[in-house]
Amino acid sequence: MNLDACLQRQDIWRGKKALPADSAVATGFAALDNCLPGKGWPRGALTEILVENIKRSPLWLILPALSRVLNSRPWQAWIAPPALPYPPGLTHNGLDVSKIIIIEPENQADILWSAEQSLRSNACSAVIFWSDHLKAAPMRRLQLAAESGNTLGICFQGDEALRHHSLATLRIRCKETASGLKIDLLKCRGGPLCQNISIAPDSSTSDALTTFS
Amino acid sequence: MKQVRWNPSPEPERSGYERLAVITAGSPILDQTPVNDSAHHLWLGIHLPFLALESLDECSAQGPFAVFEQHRQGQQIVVANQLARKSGILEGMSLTAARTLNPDLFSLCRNRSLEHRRLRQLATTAGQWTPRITLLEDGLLLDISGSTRLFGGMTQLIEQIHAWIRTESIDPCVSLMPTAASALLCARTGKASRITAKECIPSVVRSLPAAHLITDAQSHRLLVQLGARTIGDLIRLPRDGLARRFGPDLLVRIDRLLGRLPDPQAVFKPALQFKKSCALDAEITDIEFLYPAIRYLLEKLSAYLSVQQVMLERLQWRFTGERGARYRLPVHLAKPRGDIDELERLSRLALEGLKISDPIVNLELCAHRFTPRIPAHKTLFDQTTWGDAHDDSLVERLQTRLGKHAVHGIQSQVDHRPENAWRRCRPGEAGPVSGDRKRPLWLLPSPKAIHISKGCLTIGTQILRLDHHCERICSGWWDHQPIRRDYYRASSGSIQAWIFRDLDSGHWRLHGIF
Repeated sequence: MNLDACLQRQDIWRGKKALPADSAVATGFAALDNCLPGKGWPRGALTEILVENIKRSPLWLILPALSRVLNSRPWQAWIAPPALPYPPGLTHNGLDVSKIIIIEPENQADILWSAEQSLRSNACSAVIFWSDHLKAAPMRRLQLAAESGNTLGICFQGDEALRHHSLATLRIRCKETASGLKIDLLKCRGGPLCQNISIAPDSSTSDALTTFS
Repeated sequence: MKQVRWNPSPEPERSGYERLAVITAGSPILDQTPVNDSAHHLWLGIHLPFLALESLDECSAQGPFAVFEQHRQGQQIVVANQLARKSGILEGMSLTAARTLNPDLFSLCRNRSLEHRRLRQLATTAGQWTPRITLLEDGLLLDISGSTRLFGGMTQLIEQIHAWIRTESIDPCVSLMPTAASALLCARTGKASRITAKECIPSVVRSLPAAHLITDAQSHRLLVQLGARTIGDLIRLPRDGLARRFGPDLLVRIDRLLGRLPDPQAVFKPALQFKKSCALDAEITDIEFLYPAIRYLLEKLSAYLSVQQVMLERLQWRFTGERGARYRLPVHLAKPRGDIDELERLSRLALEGLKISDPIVNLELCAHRFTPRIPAHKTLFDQTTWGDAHDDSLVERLQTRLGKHAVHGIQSQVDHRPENAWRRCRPGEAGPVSGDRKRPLWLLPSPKAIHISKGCLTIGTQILRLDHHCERICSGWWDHQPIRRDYYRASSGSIQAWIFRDLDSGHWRLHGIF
């Protein structure tokens, strides 16, 4: 009897809890999917994405997942985006913008409030928000809200959040490279912390490089 | 006189649904009901003899009180209260004569607009019994034929209405007749009759003075010469002779009185508005202490909504501070609502943002935007995990707390100019689908300048490399926002940028990020 056959036995219990089938949303990038425990962004949980410059959040990284879950619920909440999510661009990438609600709160407290309401409401297929550093208590609250609403919660934060402890289910850090992003998993519930996962936007075209002169 | 008995519920088929239908359809002002023989109306005429007094704020005055009207000859008493009557003051007396009789008489000039307003108020309340209400100069006409069954029979309904009008007015006369004209006539002459069959009308009206049907003085004299004193006398006279002497109008009036001709009435349509205030016992600085008052006002509103069969589109709270500060707090609803719990929840949410610097002494609830109530449809089996209720309530909650402008949807717009190719919209509104050209995911609110240093395009410290030329966009000359630009895709590290060169100025700008 080899090891694999042994593991198939019903009475063999493995420490890592098996994840239910619907617990993750595929990211659309095979390299990243393979490193995540549920083969995708965890659903019903909060994912923190740390970026170097929050103004240039790589929307393309989450776009495949967003369009995948879009039709499951009436809304998709985008809270405090740093610039204008451009409808023609989003439509071109297959996202139905009529389901998106843009929420522009005036202060951090309202961002957190809106995020919690949206996560908990059961009416949002995904909640994406851009925020300053999240303290432990609000983070825990949002994490619980995402669990109770079984909503995909994604939070973009700046790099300075690195110094703080995270209560999110998944925390990744994106580093910009010439060809795309290099992703480090900083915290990942139920999986190994893979480093240096390279992803390129599908649409990236590197031909016809010309330097302006 | 022949005693007329109840004709119990001659027309049972018209129930309360008719009320609904009339309100929801937004009934026209003049309801030209086609009258056929089978249509049987029951008109309740309500005459308010003291309306001119009651409509004035001073009507609760303790002393003798009268209302006068300005005539060519002088001022004439229109109506006087009981105390004034005791001292011999009667209607039609001149004001000077009345003052001689009782020097303490307090008198005011008649205000017809106030009278009309009072009637409108009464008619609005009477709307709970029937939607077919006609305003008269001195009373109301209610067609109750459609609502007798709903209120447990005609007797109960009339008793309810009678009990109500007695609390509202002094000595009202209520009379039930099958035609509007006869109901009006009986009420005005103080005849509290209860007739349901048209055949019995002549027996009731024949003893009434004929002067009620004839108004101008000349015809009146002619009437006296003829020796016709009562309406019964007029009915007995040959019709062609009557028409020759008094004109065909009189015949029409008689026919309408007796129900031989249709007599359509203008239906009063109440202007929907709800305004109720609540004075607070103590000055309130803590929002939480406002909640009971809010609940109280919302319950009143809820009763109003169910009476009018409408739902609410928007409501507004108004607070008055001790030092006169006023706060206005609108509550936006994503869809019309009638459930008080949800309204309370939203109101509380809206209140959270209120900062009180002045203790609140008065609270007012205003609502004037309503839509007809649509009965809720529910599926037998709830097939979705998110109910309809969640659909808009999230947007509603967000808008209530953050303000309407802070929560919106986005849509594409058909325009070549990138700045105009999108617009804000209400959440959930679908726009034209445009996705044939590759566009960035982020658009900068205003294009950012790109400098050229050492032959390279630089933004900050980063050097941009042009990847390829996308397109030239020249458009917008017709609305004074013309652009002439060449758009390129450029990259700096992993950043894919959408930049353009303005063909007029030659400047480079960053416009979007992929």
